[in-house]
Amino acid sequence: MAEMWISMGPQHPMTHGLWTLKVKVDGETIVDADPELGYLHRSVEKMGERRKYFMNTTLTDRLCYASSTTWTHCYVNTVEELMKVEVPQRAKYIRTIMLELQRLASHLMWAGAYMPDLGHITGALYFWRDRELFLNLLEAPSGSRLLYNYIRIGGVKRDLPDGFEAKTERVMKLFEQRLDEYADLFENSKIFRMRTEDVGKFTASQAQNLGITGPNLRGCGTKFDLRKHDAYEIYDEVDWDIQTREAGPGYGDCFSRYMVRIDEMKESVRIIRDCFKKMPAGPTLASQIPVRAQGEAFRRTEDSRGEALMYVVGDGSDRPYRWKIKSPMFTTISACPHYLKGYKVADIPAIMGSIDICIGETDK
Amino acid sequence: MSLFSFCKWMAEWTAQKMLIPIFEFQEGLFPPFTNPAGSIADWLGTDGGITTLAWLYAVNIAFAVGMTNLILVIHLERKIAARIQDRRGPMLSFRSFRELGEDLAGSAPSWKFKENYAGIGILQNLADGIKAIAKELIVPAKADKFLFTMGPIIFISSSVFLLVLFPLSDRFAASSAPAGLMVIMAAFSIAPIGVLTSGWASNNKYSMIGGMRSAAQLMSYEIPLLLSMAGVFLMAGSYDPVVIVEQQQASSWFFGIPIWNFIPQFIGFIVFMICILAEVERVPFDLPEAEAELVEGWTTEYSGIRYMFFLMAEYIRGFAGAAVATILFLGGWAGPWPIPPEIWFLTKVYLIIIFWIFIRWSVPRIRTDQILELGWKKLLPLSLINLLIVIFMVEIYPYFSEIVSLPEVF
Amino acid sequence: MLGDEYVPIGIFALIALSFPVMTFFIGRFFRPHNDNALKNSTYECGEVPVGEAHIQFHFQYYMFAILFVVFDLVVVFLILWVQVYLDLAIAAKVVMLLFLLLTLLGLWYAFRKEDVIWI
Repeated sequence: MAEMWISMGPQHPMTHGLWTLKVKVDGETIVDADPELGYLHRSVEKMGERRKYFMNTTLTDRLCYASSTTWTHCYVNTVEELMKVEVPQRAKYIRTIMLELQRLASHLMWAGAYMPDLGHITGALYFWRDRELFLNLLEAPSGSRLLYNYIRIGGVKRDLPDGFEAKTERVMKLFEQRLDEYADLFENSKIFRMRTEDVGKFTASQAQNLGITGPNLRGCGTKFDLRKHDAYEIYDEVDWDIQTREAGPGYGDCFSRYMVRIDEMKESVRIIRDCFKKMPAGPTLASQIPVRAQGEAFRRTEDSRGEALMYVVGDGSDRPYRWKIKSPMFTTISACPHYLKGYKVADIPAIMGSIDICIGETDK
Repeated sequence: MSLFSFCKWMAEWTAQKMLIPIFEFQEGLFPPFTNPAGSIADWLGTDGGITTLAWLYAVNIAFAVGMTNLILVIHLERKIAARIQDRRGPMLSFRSFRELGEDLAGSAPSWKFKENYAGIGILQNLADGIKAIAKELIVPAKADKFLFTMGPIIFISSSVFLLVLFPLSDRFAASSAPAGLMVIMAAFSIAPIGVLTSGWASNNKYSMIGGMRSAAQLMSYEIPLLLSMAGVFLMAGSYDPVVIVEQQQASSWFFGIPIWNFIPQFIGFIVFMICILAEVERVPFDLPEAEAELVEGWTTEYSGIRYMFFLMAEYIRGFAGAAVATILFLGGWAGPWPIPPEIWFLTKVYLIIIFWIFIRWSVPRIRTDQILELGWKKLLPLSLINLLIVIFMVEIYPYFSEIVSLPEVF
Repeated sequence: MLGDEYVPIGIFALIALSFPVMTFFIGRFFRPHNDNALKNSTYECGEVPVGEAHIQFHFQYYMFAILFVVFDLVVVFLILWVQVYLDLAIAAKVVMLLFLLLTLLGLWYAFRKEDVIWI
């Protein structure tokens, strides 16, 4: 009985970026897997040590091309703790709105990329069509569509434009209607469930041991979300719930991860609505922002893909002495042999797509 | 007038007016013992020669009709897919060329972009064909050269072969073979050989798995496919498309409405539609060329016109599959009078194809083990049940109709 | 002549066979020929392939081929039987049904050993 190694990637439709998955197959069954990362390493951390604190937001924007605001926010949050800057209340609200809009755009990007993995090209175009709406919203205050550089140390770049709330509300209403339509196309589709249910399973304890975080962890039924458990900005003031899938048959599989993200999108809409309701007036940038910093700080935030952690050491100069980024996807991809083994070759895109890969942040 | 008699008339005309004079002229130029022109001229004068020439014409007309339909099917697929996905699809047409030319020549400098250059996009197929034929054909160094070349030829010629095998109506038929449907199914089942050959000869792991998958799938679905057809053959007592359609038309329901096979053999119809979908490898059963995991599967190493022909052959097979489904279950070319039967036939075929296009762009692809499980565990028993129901109906009918005095159904 | 109806099918078989061959041949005059070693290497997502693809493949696929051969024979018998069914004697009908039943029994046994044969 001959087994063979197939390398999927770097030039493969399944990879969603540049990485290689070497799988050992026996017929159609996966016996072993070996992920290889590092094709997209840009040494962001080292580059950051040569730039001033406020310059690094351009680098963090480029960490993850699908979810750049969340990464910039994580960095800014860490530096603010290091510099002990007090952010105005209105800026916190605006930040939360932008973060959730970014989360929506990122999850829609993921859903659109996931559908062709299952052979459903129409789904990709539908989800990306909706992502455009949210990119328009992100463009309105920040002025760009991919790398926003909107969140700054001490607040945000500028206040929200006029009529932003009405525009957002219109988009969100349309989006909610569309999500109901997509439920018929995907969740209630027999073939979609055949492809995703009971595929790529891992249990909650396994996920915790492997360091899997974010929607992938919540898909196993663990109620863990840093927006609640280590609340930053104003997530503890607005009204929202952690979305998980109930433990039971079929939890922790691709379908549960899909559903968690869809539910999270609905929850993001709820957060944005609540933010607009409670948003106070006031300045959007702190009046006193220091340039130099001394000491060390770390913050973790709930990125669209899991737990983003940054650690910054300042030595009293205007540049960070050491800057460390912990990416959620790095651990999740590294753990892939654990949840790939025993499934079929045809399941590889379904599983690897469902964990929402972003190689930009993985390789840093 | 049937296609054959038209072709015979045409063959006689061309033979008398053009071919025989030409060959006789050639015979006059050279001595007859070194040159076959004279014997060809003599042969064309006989009945056999005229008949052969007539068949040649008929086959070519059917081929042309089939290719025209193929272009329409590809165009329809693109346009409907685009509409489903909220886009416009291909827009290149003769009108756009004319407008582009006018703009470039400066005669009508109207940059109304929304109106200009926008046609229905029928020229896109031509553009793709020209592009594909101008591409390099790459043969991998490690591939088995002979089989690598033979694989596409087997697959494509067996698919093109399908084009003339089904009649568009009882008069428009290039072949009136009594075992017509059996010949069609035989041509259908040559394809796995080509697929397996191409997949193996590429010496590529993706192609290998894709070819294996394809062979397993096509083989598995051949059996329920043939079994679901068996019920129709039983009722008609023949493999001849003309006889099958006549039988469906003759079996009347109340008020003389014909009862087509898809009503009494509904299970068979469903099984047949699923199987033919798998046989022509369309979504959701297109896993041999799953682009997500196998990078186009068994066609990975093919480039240029060969790859293009693979895609084309799949559409031909789709068209032929829809035509077979129409003949077997949807009453073929039968339909109310004013519309000619050929149009009826093509309407039904295109309805099936449009249904397939809708399926293709709205469902994901299913997995190998699931497709095989569906084939062996669900469709095979269902097709046998369908056959048993048909046997039961045929056996019970004479007694039953005597008691209740029903009209003639079967 | 017996089988006269199959003459056009024969003619078209030749045309169909020559269609791809002729197109590939004609295309020779339109397409470029720029071979190089890198282009002719086997595609494996940009990596150098590990091992050969021509391996001894998994038995499960061949099991399907075996099942197929068995059932194809059954189907061939059945299709012929079905065509003349309306004129058959009762014994011929019953015997064929029995044959069918036996094959189904075999299939049932094969699926009992599912874990061995399934892909």
